Amino acid sequence: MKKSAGFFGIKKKLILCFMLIVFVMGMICMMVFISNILVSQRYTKIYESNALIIQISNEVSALEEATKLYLSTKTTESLEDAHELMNSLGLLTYEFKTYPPDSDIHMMMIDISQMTDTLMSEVNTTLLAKITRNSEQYTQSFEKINRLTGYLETTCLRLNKLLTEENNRELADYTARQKTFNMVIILSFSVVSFACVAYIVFQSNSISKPIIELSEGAHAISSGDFSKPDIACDSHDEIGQMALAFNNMKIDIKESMDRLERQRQLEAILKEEQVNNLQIQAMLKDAEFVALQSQIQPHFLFNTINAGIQIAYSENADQTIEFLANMAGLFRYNLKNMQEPVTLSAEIEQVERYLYLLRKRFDDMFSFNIRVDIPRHICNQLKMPLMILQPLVENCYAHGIREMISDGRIDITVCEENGYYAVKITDNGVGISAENVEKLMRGEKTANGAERSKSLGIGVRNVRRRLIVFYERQDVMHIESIPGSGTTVTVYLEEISQ
Amino acid sequence: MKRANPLIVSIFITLIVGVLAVFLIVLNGFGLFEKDNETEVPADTPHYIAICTDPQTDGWSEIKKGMMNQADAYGVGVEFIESGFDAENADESCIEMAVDSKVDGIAIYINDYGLHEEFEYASDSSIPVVTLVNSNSYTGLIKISAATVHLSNVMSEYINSSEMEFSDIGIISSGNTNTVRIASFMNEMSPNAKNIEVRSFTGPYVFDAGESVKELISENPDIDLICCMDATATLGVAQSIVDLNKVNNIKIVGSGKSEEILQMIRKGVVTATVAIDYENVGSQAINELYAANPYFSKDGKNVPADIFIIDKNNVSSFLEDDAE
Repeated sequence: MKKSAGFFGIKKKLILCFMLIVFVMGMICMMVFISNILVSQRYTKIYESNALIIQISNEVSALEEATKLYLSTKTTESLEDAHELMNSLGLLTYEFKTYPPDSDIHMMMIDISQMTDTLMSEVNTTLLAKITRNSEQYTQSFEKINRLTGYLETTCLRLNKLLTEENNRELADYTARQKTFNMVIILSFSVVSFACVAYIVFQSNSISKPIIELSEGAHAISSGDFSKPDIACDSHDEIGQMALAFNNMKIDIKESMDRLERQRQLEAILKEEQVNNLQIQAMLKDAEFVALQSQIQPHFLFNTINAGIQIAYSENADQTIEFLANMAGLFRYNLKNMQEPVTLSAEIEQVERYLYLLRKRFDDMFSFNIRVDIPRHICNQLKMPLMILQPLVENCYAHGIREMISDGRIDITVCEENGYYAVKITDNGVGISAENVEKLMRGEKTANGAERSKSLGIGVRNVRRRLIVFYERQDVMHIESIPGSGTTVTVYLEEISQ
Repeated sequence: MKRANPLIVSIFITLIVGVLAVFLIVLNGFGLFEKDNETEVPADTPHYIAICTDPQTDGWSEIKKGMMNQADAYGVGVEFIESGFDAENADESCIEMAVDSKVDGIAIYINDYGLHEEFEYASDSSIPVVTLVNSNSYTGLIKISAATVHLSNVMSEYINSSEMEFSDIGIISSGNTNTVRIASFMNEMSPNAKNIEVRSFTGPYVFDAGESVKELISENPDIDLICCMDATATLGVAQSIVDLNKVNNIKIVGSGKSEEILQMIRKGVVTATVAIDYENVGSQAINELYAANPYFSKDGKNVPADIFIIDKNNVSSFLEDDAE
């Protein structure tokens, strides 16, 4: 499910960062701009006051000149000039009257405004006296105008001097403050710039670091390394969500791979079992082939032997009957289905028949003994593969004692050993070398290339392999041999569940 | 929920504080853009002019100080005119200009005893005029002055009441402006002195007084007390006594309270000095002008200035005051 990055999304962070920087820089620029405007206004104000005083002084002089001109020429222009100048002076000095006497400058401005009033009053008196042709009065008044003009000019000069001194002090003070202000602006700019840079660097790191970790994590996963810890990302932005998704993805991939591995192992086991089954089937086929090869003869021989038994009955030849009956039993046993298990009793009986016939055949050259040390009912119930003991007994004879002229002996003992039922087949024949014993136990071919040894290896290997498949364990057989003294082959059987 | 990263928070706080700081700097102008001092002084507040065309005149700075303090106390304005006019008619011009400026009062500290026309002009304009330590004869003035008789009385009373031993007295004065005072003083001292000799010097400088006193001493070797009628004479006499190595042999009682005279008293060269309390004169002047508004009267009046003696017992307090 898609999850929103919320307030802490990268896009919003970047926009916020950009807006903040623009805002801060804009504020600083605006402050510098306002500062310049205010300073400019202040300077203008400072010099305007000087200019105003100079203008008043000039207009006072001009008024005196205009009055003098009117007194001399009595022209309308000079009269208008005088009135215009009086109006102008009235306007210029009007504001001075509103100042309180709280400083030398203000008090001098008040003086100027009051003297200007006196002057204008005197000018009016003079002009009126001139109009009414009262020469004595306008002469007297003009003297006063002359004196007032001098006082005004002197006062303007004093005020200008005072203003200049004051302005110089103020300018020096302003310059010093401006320097401090500039320093503060520079400092503020530096601090804010540093903070912005730090913020940007941090934000960049917070974005790039998880991406780098994601990249490394992806490389590690692609190379099959799931041991790296989860990517740590506290942010709630898209990167944080990506890291979370990546961590989840890693877990999912790991689980999938584990599942695949388990499946592969199961398949391997299955395949191994299939191989085993194939091997068993192949061995069974071999055995069946061998059996089939000998089936034609055994059937013919079996029928023939039965005919012989009938003849022997008719002739009352008991030994012949016994011989032929054993032979018939041997062949009958051999005709059994190889895939069906048999009991230990059946196997022992088969071995007894085989050894009887072998003794009769070779004129009692060897003796044999079968001893069963376990209860009879167990022998009747204990299941094992067909044709296990006879090939081993055959090997004892063929490879152990056949070469001996007399005193050959085969002992078969059934007993309990190590939790199994052990069938020990012991001969006192020529024995087997330790090297060949090892190879036989490993299921390998024996070192001797002679045909005899080869058939020995095949028989033992076949028996061992069939026991391993039947009991599904490896310790099914043990061979112990002393060259020149004899060999003991032990087969370990056990009860198996149906 | 995850806590916000402290670094981000600190950076944000720094930015915000930075912006606010710059805002405050601009708003407060760091004192740079402060508005003109807006005062609550109303426009019709009394406005006086104090005139002293020679700011070096003895005691002017103290008078000015007293006037400013008292003006602050009343909340009135005092404009001082000390220069800027032609020296020839400076006093007249200053008074006329003040009257033309329609001020509420004029205080004048000049040695001119004329100026009657100007005072008349002020009186006609209903502007009160206070003269400071000046015995002008114009009747419409408010005169704050130390009467010469008062000055001589204070000096003679101090000499007679102290345990000072003397026989012959010398009197030193600059010019002939202190004749009334000298006469009064001689009248007071004659019962206790064997002989009293008077010398006036004409020059404006201290050494003029010095030459005069040397001449006096050489002509009258028995003089053991010299009384000076002004500050210049006091300084000149004191330096000459030191030069003649007659400190303690000839006692000096002077006039004025300049720093040099106070130091001479501290060193024991000058025994005592008679001084006018100029600061008090200044504050009295504002008092009188303030009282004259709006009940202007052409009658005028005399206001006595405070006079006191400074000797080794109290000189330290005046030196401390000067230091302050």
